[in-house]
Amino acid sequence: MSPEPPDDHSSDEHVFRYRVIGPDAEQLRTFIAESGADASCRPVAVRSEAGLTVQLLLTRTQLGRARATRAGDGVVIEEVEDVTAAQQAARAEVGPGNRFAQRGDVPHGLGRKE
Amino acid sequence: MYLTVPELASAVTSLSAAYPGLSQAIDVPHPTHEGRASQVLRVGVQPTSAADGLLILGGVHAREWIPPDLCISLAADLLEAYDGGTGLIYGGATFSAAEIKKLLHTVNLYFFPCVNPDGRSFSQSGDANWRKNRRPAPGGGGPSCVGVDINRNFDFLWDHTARFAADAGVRTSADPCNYQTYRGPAAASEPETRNVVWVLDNIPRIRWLVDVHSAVPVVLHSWGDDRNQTTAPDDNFGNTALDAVRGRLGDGIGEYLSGRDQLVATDLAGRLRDGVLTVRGADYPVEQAMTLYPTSGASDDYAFSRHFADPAKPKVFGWTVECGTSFQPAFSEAAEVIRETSAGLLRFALGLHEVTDGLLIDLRTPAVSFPDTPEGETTEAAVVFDCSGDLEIHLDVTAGPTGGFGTPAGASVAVPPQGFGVTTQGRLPISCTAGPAGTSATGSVTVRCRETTEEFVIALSANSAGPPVAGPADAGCGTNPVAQPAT
Repeated sequence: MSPEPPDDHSSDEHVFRYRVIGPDAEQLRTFIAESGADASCRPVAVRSEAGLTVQLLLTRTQLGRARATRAGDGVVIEEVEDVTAAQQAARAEVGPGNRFAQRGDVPHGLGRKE
Repeated sequence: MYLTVPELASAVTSLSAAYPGLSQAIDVPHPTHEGRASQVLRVGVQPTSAADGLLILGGVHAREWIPPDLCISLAADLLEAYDGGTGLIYGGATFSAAEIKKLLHTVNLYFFPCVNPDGRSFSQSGDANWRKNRRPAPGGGGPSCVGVDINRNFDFLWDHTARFAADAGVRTSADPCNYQTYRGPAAASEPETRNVVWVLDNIPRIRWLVDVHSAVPVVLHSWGDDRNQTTAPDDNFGNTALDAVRGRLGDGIGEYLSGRDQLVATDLAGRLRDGVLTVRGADYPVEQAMTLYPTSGASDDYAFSRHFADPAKPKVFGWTVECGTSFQPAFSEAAEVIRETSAGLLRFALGLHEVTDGLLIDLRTPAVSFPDTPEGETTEAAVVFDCSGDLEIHLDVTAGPTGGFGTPAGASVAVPPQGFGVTTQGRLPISCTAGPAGTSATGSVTVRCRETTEEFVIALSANSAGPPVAGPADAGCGTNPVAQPAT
């Protein structure tokens, strides 16, 4: 049996979302295995002219280790988002109450009705 | 502001109370580990047994905050638009009032906005990066040992250590302390999983499932355990002889689905992508769920596998949408993702019967005439439709015929299913009894297709044989009505 996906929980360091582009699936699989990345919701790669692209969640420590590996040489890595910072900011957008608790308080959709 | 778990529950209750004729809150039976009850919101004009259903899941993964809000927003949009007789606009995507009406008359949409409320509550108040549910940790386990990944817990090749090649790299874990992807102690061990299974088992006529996640973005279609193949039906998830090789990339062995099912899966995924694209240009590419690694125990594969595992169960096509590019963006951006994904889901839903059943109807005779009929003689002609697809098609007269014309076979015609891609003619007889020689008549009849809700207005005309006469012109049909037997 191949090793299970690593337990990538890191409580202190910020987690970043990276776009990792590799020439083929095998290269990406090797990179993911060596980096211990969180492959997000479903570990899916999207095809493009540049090759195969996958979204990975890594701390900078994990990324540094991964760049140093053999697989790190064969991929292009682009930072997309500081996931931890986004999460900290989003926490302020969770309200304390219940906007629909009262009878007659009905949610409205975000589409324009016309 | 993002919706909290209490707000999600109240939203379902309040929408069903505000639109009692168009929606229904359905209790699911299994309380979560923390004791929360869940509800599904049905949106549609027809009762559950009278229309096919689309099940939309949100909030399976706790840290993905957009999908539950998306479910509530889209449900509210549909209810408001239908109730007000309007269309819906999301950025550059426009849906007419007729399309909204058609959708709610032909499909029941079942929104399960928050499958994993315990996890969402913890993600919004504790660890924002939390993904699993909140199953208590086994004795002595730390914080990472809490919880099960619901999207690895469904009964589809759940036991990955036994059902996949050792080197397949299945993205699930048997370790109860895996922070992300612990599969649980048994297939469907979790109440959240069993609630989804209950919906599929107990709500009739669900034929499609979309599990909304974030973020990549991408639209994923079956299968997720191996590469698709359409030529070897015995090479499938039920075949234990393949356990030693299942899930390897590029080994020439894959998971079976028919060519037509693959076409349905990819065509509808493409419509979802197209719908998203028109809002603000975001591209959600279409991919098979297995590109890098296989997965096991996922909701979309489970839904689609059910009819293979038990032929008595209906076929349910499954997809996963990974919307947006962030788990928890600023809500202003989340709102944009909600709009574009709503447009994608609507474009997808509007194509369900056309793509899955090949359901198409086309009027061949926009006008029907009865030329030179002898006075007092009754003749018949037919309004003709080209009807295609796997479903029985019903053509109902909703207005007319005016002008003295009749419908000798009754006001409704049923056209038996012909099969995918096969077209036959549906014929609605119209009768005319000619009036005095030289007179003429005009009228119309309106026919509605029950399955597509399309309405057609057909012009009718007649004239009696003989030279034109002075006096009222519109006296050529039906002035001497002859009773016609219903057939």
